[in-house]
Amino acid sequence: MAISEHLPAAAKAAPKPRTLRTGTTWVGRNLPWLTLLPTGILGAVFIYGFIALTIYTSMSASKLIPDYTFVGFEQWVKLWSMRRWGIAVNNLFVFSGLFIAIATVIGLVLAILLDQRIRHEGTIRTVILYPMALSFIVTGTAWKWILNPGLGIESLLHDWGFVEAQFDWLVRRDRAIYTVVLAAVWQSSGFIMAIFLASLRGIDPSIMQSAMMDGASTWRIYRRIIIPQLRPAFFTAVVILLHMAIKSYDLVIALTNGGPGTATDLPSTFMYDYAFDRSRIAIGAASATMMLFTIAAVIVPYLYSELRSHNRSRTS
Amino acid sequence: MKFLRTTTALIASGTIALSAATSAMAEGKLDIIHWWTSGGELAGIELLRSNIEAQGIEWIDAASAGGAGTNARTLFRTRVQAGDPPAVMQALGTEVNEWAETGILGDLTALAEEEGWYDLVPEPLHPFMNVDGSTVAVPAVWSQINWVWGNKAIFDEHGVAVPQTWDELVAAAETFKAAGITPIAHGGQPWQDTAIFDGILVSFDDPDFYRKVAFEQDRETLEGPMFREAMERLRWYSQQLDEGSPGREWTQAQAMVLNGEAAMSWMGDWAKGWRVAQGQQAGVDFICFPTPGSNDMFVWLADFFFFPKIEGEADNAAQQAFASAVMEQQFQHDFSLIKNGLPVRTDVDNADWDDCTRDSIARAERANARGGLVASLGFAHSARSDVQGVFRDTLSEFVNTPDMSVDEGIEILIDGLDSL
Repeated sequence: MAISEHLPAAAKAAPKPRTLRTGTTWVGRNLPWLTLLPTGILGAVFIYGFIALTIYTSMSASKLIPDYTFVGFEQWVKLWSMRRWGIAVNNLFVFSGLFIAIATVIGLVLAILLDQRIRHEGTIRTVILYPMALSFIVTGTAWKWILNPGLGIESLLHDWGFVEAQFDWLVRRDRAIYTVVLAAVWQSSGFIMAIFLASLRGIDPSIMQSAMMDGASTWRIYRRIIIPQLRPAFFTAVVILLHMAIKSYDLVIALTNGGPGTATDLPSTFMYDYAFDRSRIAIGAASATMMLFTIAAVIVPYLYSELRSHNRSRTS
Repeated sequence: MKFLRTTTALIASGTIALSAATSAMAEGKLDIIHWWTSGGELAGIELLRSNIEAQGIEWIDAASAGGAGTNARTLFRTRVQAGDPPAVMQALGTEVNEWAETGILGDLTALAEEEGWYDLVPEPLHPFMNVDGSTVAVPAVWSQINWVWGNKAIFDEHGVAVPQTWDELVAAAETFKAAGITPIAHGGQPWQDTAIFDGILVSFDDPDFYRKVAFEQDRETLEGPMFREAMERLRWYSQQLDEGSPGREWTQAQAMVLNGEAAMSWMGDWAKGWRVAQGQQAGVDFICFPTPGSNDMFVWLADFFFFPKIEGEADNAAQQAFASAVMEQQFQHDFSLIKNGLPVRTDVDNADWDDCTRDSIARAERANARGGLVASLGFAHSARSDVQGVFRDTLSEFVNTPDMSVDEGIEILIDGLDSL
């Protein structure tokens, strides 16, 4: 892209245009393809090649080291009969559903509030965006201390005299997954706000003014005019949040390490444990493949519908 | 401190390399992957290193800390697949057997016979050193797991004697609870939940029961009354903990006992190593006793080094030199003192040990005489890592789910084992 833009300028400036004129030599004609070729090869091998290898491994007898004896869907059947895998999949839906919904809503609300031309906007924006600068390991560790009943909020409330206060979600099997949501939302909402804010700034203020002249309430303007225009921003936000949710690994490791027990296991932590700790590479590969399919099942139709509507609006 | 030690080691190795070069005896190299990167364990590695380097062998260190060896294992696996295995790899329990079955390990049988290893090393360790008649690994140190560490001041203050039976333990815990002290400090991580279950399994003082559960996963035994009782004891144990225990590191749990927030804690003998490093003294600041009921039982785990097949005579000689260095009497004596584990040779002088270690060695002998010297389930010595993984998942879930019934726990466990 960059090269093809620069080439004509270079050709004009050169004293002997013939040698550099594009379109006449073989190299010149094929330059765009040649430029893309290394990326293409690397992508084919390291993305699609390894995806294929992982899928094949999941159908092999691999245990401690890869063993490419084909065993069909045996490992998949085993995987789906595992209680712990069931917990991990269930957690993935709970976690990603809540995480995406809450982070999007909070991000949008913060963006709309910040968009009211308030004072010190720059400072506030930085403060809200700041958690994004931390790694998930740091976020996880900090929230682990904050939420630990013996160290954090609960113990603080006890020290202040509220001895009945209870906030022990982190150590409760049935609640721990929500603490992971909490920490992830805290980390990511600011970033989502930045996406929405950029998008809001791109909306022509005169639309808002004319709607106001027509007597529409602010709520109505946002609901019927502004938010529908943010559709591309929603698309970006959801895709980013979804892949963060499915890839989530470090946050869980730092915050709960999959515990209490296996209560906050996610497919990613499950996969690591089976592939690297328990010498069950085929089961690990099967779970990794399931994660890929899960992402694909959600992202591909979404991508398809969004891009199609985008193309349609461009052609019409 | 660490820097200083490394520097000294570097200078030392430099001098040795020089003298070796002049005498022209420098041959071979030793490429080693391990995860002993701090404290007494690092000191042990340094002892081996200076021994090996004094023989003119180049020591190539690929230490990989973190994840309790997981990172080192990943590194090893990668190098095996790339066709470039190291000369030495560290391993726990059945990992040795799993790798031996892939056929990539070399054979040290000649050396083992020459030095008489099998006469020196306690018999229960043999199945991990010798796979199908060939010697593939050497044990470096081993540890008793069924230990309880108590705060002596708290026990004395409340007039609680060392509990000998499970009922006495329950009574002691009631006393501590009434005084507002957490009876047991526990680190609620899956590996720790499983480790303390080793202690519960031997608290019945029945070698046969342990064997049927940990080695054979005999379904009838798992559905029988004694295993039910074991799960009841685990449930009781889970009720003696403070609410902050899930996810806690084992060192933090030890610190709670040291600070007097909790009366006792269950952990292998490395917890004593940690205490000694904090300046505590056995019998003065803390007391040690086996998990109640297991005075004649001994659950152990051991660290091994195994030796992949590699090319080159000089490098093979280096592997043998390393194996000899690990088995050497002096090293076994020194290392067991620094790491606070037990020597793997039975002929090591016991003059320098404290009461806990002496007690431990006496227990190992008593237990061995009656078949009660048993390999750990929690650390995948009595069964492979996939079987141990099912126990770990189930027990950890059970400990952390207060309303899960014993029957439900046993059912989940058996289902998990069946699905392997």
